[in-house]
Amino acid sequence: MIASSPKSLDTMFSRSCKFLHLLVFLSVCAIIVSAFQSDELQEDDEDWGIVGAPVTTITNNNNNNIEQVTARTHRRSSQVSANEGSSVSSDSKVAFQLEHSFGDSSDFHVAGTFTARLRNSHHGGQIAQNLVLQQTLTKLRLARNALTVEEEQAFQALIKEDGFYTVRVPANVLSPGQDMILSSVKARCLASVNLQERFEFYMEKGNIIAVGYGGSDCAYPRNLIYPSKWSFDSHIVMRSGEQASRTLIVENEAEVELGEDGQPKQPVEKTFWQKYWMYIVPLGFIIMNVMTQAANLPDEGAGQTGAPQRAASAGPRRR
Amino acid sequence: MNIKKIVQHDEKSIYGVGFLSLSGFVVWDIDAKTGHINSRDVITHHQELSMNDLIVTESSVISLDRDGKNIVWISLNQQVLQIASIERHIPDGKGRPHLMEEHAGNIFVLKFKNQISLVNLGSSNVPELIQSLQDHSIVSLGIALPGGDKHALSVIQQVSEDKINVHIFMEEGDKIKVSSELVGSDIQRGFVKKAYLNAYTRNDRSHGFRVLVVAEDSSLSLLQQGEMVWNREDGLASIIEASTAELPLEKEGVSVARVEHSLLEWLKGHWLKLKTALMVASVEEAAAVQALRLKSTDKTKMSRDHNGFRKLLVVLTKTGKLYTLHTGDGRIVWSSFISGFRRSGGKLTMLKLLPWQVPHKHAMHENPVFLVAAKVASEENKFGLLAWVDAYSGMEINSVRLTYFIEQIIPLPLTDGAEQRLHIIIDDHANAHLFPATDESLQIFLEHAQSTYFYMTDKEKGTITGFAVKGPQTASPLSPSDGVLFRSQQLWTIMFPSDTERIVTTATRRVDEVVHTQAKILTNQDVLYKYLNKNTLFVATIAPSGAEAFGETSPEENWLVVYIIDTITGRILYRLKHSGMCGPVHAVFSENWIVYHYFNVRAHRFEYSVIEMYDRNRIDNKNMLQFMLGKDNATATLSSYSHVDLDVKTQSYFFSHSIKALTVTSTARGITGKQILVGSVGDQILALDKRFFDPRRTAEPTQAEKEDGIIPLTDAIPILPQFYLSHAYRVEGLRGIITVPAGLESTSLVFAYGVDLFYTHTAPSRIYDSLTGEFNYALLLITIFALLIAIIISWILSERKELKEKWK
Repeated sequence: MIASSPKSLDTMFSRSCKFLHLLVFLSVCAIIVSAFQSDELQEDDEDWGIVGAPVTTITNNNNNNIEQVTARTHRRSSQVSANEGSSVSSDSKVAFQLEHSFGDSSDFHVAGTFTARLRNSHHGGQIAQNLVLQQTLTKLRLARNALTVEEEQAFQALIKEDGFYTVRVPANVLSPGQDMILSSVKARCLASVNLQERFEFYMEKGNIIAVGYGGSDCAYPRNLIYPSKWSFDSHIVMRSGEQASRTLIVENEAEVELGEDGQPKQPVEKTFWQKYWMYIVPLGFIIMNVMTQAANLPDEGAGQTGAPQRAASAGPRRR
Repeated sequence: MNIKKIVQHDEKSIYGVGFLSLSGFVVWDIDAKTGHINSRDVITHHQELSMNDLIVTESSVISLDRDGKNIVWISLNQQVLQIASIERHIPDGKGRPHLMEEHAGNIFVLKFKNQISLVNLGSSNVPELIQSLQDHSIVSLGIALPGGDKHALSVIQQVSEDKINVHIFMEEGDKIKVSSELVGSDIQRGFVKKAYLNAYTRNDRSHGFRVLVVAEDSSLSLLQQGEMVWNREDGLASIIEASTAELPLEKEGVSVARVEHSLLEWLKGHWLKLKTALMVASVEEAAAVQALRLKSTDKTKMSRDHNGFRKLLVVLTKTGKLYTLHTGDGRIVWSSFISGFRRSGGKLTMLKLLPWQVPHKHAMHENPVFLVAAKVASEENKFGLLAWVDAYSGMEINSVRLTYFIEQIIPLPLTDGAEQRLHIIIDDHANAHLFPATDESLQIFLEHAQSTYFYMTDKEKGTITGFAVKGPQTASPLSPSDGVLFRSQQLWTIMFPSDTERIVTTATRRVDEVVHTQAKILTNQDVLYKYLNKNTLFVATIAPSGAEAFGETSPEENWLVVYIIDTITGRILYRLKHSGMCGPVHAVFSENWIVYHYFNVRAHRFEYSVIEMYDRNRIDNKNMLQFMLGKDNATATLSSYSHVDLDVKTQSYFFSHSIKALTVTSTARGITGKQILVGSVGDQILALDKRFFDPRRTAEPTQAEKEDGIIPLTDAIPILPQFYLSHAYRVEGLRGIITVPAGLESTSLVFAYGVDLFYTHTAPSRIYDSLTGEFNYALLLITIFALLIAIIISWILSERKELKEKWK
């Protein structure tokens, strides 16, 4: 279903350019899109037919089992507005392949197809001179081919030897070339979470910078567990990072109170007594103690204190 | 026609000399005062000339014919072409000769394959061989002697490794005077690379000569009257790597005589001291005593001190020479060339200096050993070189020539029984080679091979690629010279789009960094867990247009993107884009934070940003009591494949300087606060407190935040005079700063290098674990003494009183 739709969608989208009033709407959309770059899973279930179903297997024309992506996301209000109103002229569809390999990084096979909607928005729409074409991919979906028997065996072997399961996608999804983005995970990590995979795409203008691939979690040590089913459960996240912002500009630099923290302020030199009183005072106490004890000894001998002491001190005198 | 050389012949005329097509000379005679061209002469030859050989001497223009068989010249005043056969005049010359640029008067030099020949082309118009010199010979530029038409030229001939012969050729009218002097030279300076001749007038009004010689290690020496008058270790201006080694432990039971070299010297020293004490010593003797005193102070001792302040600085220079400096007075303890590298041939590039064996635990009495790596890249072959050098003696223990090229050397956090650190060397095919290649180290490594990963950064292509080491390739026999071979498997790639981003800087945490606490406890009892994964890489990329000169691009065309990447999985943990910023970018990564410096195109100011990473996964066990009782998951093994939830805090500040180097202090246990050390553009070292780079800073911190030591937020990082760690000194041409922990927790040792070297201590949180230098010991002693006397007196008094009591 996904594979067959791009052209019909395209023509549907292209109609809208006739409507002039839509241009205004478009620029508003562009502002919204450029102002807020969501880092959440961007999926729109209505357009793609499947809502909320955990795993649905549908049969394709060429009898290949295609898994559909699970939908776990909420819709963004900005996205909804962009998708409403017939269609937007600058949207188009792209598809690229996911390839995988079992432990050998030279032997890759097609594992599925990614489809996405490419949105051409004009950055800085108000100022006509500064039109910068910004291409953003949205609604990235994966249709995974079911594992063949050989692949299943290879995967089992990989789990057994705690090897790496590697996937790769083209670096440039608009015009795929030689450059590939690789990502790997220990096969046991995937097996332990029942083949729940997670793709984290970092993209910049139609180029994939990196793909973070793995299971949802992976504890160490990795135990030898085989998955209960041999079908993948994909979860896709697209990120573009954050934009640095300077919020605070302090007007008056001269009013820097540096004395507060103590570091820049020149410390006032303390006197010897101020610095070391904590050593001298106890020492003084000890000496005082010694002195008073020494002074007390004869007094005790004089019999001013209790009887036991008297007896003890009197002892030697008798001899 | 092309003019190859312009020569001022005398005050009146300038000659422009060149070739006309392939077989002719062209000489332009130009008036020096008016620029008027007086004449232009063309002299052609029936044979083709060698276009690379052309010199203009006092009276002739000299070249060779194309095969190098004949000398072809024209006299400047006669303009007649003349030819002389080289074979006839210089019968011992082998191979095709070339004319050397160096000449003096009518003396010129022909360089053959294995010798140089000095030839005089005087008024006789016949080339006369003066002398041929074999071996390694360096010719200086010719000089004109003051007064008259005398010229001189010197040739430094390396007779043997430790002897050089200085030949001086002086042309006096038609006569050539030759003098030679044999001078001893230091083997450790290598061969002579360049020589400069200088003349002076002797007492007897004759000409004397001195030669300034640049040796292979870039040191300068002045030779005069057959002696080395002085030399300077200018090789130290080209340090590329620096490290430190502990000094030997002070051995107990070593006799005084051995420490002071000999009993006689020791006695002499004491005799001198006695003389000065009795005021009968002469000025020289007093100076000698002063020197002895300086030598015997604790600071310059060749043994380890309790506080760990005395260290050996081991530095590797561009020329391939190793030096060790004593931190006490900066003297050179030893310096040596790595002979294994010198023999290799080809263009040598020094790569790394790594501590190989650090005396520790059961290998306490071994000497520290350093591993030096270099690579040779010529058109025919590329290979790596390794050498192991003893840090106390400078002795080369071993050196090997590898069969592969070195891309990267990774010290592993593993050591073998002799405390030798395990290293893997990554070659250009991404294979890993384990060193030392012993059974023991292989056994140790195999335990960890499953979880050994490495990554490679290609700045040209803008990629970072991650690999995992795959078990040893077959049961290959151990080859001590090439290491144990391991294959690798490519795991991940990160590719920065070449049209938008270009890698400028990467930063990682120090391998030997010690972190005292994993958690930051705030005043309100909240706990923030630092993200302390050592496999974290900081990468900064800028827009390709930003690489151009300042002012050529608008702020919109510039951006700086920083990444925090997990190097095991290749995941981007954080990406932050700064618009309108450009390089150069300097970054330092320590504990859970990164501070980086760049240029803000929009504001036309330099800026610092700080990133602090906290682990949100562990935020659940917030309870301080649990943390204190150790009932948290702080010690659980973490897998890189687990999901990471980072809490990243950032903040930016303006800074008024461009910088040359950026590093951070390091202390033995990581308890002490940190200082960011900045090599300023004025070649000074600034120590900025890390508290200035705290993303939690706000303009008006609350009382609780103030208690946490938060400084009110300011727009810029202030520079106060007391931040200058280098005081009034400038470290000319500053290139790098290294920090080493001292034995005392409060102190960090700082060594900065450039053309100058600078060494100091810094205590970021002030010295809290030792008494300061100005501590009043006298007062303390007096106090103790007074108290002692008081005790004694009171004791005597009490004794007396008791006695009296007894007599009662």
